[in-house]
Amino acid sequence: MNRLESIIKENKERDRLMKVFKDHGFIKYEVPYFHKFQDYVCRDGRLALDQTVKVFSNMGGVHLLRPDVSCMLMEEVSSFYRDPLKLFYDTETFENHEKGLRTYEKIGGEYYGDSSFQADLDMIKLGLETLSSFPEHLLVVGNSRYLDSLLEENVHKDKGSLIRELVRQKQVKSLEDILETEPLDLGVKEKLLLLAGIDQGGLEDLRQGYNTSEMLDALDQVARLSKNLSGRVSFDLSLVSHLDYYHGLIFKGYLKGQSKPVLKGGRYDKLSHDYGVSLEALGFSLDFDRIKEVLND
Amino acid sequence: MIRVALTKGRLGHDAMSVFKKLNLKKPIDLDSRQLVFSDESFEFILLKPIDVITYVDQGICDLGVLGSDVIMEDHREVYELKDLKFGRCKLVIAGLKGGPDIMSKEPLRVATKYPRIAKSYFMQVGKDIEVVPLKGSVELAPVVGLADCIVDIVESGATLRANNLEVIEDMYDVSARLICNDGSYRFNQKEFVRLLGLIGGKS
Repeated sequence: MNRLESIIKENKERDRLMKVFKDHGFIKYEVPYFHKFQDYVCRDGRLALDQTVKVFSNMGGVHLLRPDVSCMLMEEVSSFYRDPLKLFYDTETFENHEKGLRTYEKIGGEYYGDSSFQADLDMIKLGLETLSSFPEHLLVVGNSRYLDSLLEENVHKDKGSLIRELVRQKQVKSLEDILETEPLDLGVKEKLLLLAGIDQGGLEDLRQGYNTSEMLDALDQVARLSKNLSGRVSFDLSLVSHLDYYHGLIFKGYLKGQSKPVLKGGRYDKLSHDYGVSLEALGFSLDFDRIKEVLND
Repeated sequence: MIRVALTKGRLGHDAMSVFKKLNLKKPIDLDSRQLVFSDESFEFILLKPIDVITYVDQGICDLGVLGSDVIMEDHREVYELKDLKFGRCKLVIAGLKGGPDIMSKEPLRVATKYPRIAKSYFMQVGKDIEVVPLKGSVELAPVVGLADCIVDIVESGATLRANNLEVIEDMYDVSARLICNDGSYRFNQKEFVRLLGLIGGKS
């Protein structure tokens, strides 16, 4: 495929995605370029500071060049938000790595002011629709409250972060080694090892053994989603986000042959508190660089 | 088709004896110069240990077998499906036999093929170190005065003894792991569960 053919193919997919968002009532929003350095430091942003791209104004002020989208949109939306609101974006973020500056193309949508089950379901279905150009896609759905509650009720916070990472990376052997020295209930250990293992069984199997009421709530929500979803969806209660502000629903989209997810999303109601408001929010973002790679394969 | 990255050498032979439990149809001769072996539903690729993680991380291979020391040293994220329990050894700190207390050295020079592991291990005990990165014959470093101690894998300890070195501290147990990437885990989960059942054990 020559370069022109690639560009035409990429444009077509981009146009299709824009149409999908618009057809579902999303309004296109231009994400600002600059983020105040001081605000970013206070709010402990997504990127480590040394990975952000800094811009200096002639008066000596320091800004960051669009380090992420969700936080920057939340900052904007918190000042004019009125009713349930759906926004989408087609933009890039900037990062600073050892080998130099990098841009990442992101296309995604955010749904504010609706904490209902229906909103969760709609966003998952929308996520599936965005991947529908690719016959072999898969959306994996989970709820972070399941693992969070299991850890919060039983493990000290520092150890909890380490165990969460081991569960996320399915490092069963290292997890076993750590659990050996932890004075934990046998049921808690069994549940952690089950979540880290490759075979969790079905959602009903997770009802067995140790569960807090919050874990059962999270399980109920996922079970209800599974009843309302069909097709290329699977469920995983060990799914964890790399972003601290995700809480509750979480989902990731994969394309066959790709080692990493091309879609990441979930609910992040708590992020708004950092901006002095209380605003439910959920959204997802597509890694359009990777999608372009797959289109051109 | 599931593509598996194996290492050349003993670890590859041990891995192959595990995969033979899957009733492979064709003979596979790891000592030939061939680097790719295809069976009905599997394809095996022979690589250097350091490259296995790259092939798995990039999605070229669905599964890989390599030592947990290499996984620990690498910054990339892979899932560990199973401890295969062969290729066992230890990561240790070793120094000259009867030498001075290394913790009193400032700065402490550590020769190793594992700079990340060494740095993070000493950081945990609050000790700042100067890493001397080496690719091989690490045991030589304290003998010739290139470093105060080494961080390396030890199996029987014979090489250490032959070079007048001794273990100062055991750091981590090492063994071969079956790894995969996030995407292949999602698409092949059922197949992997079946495979783990055949080669023994779920985890």
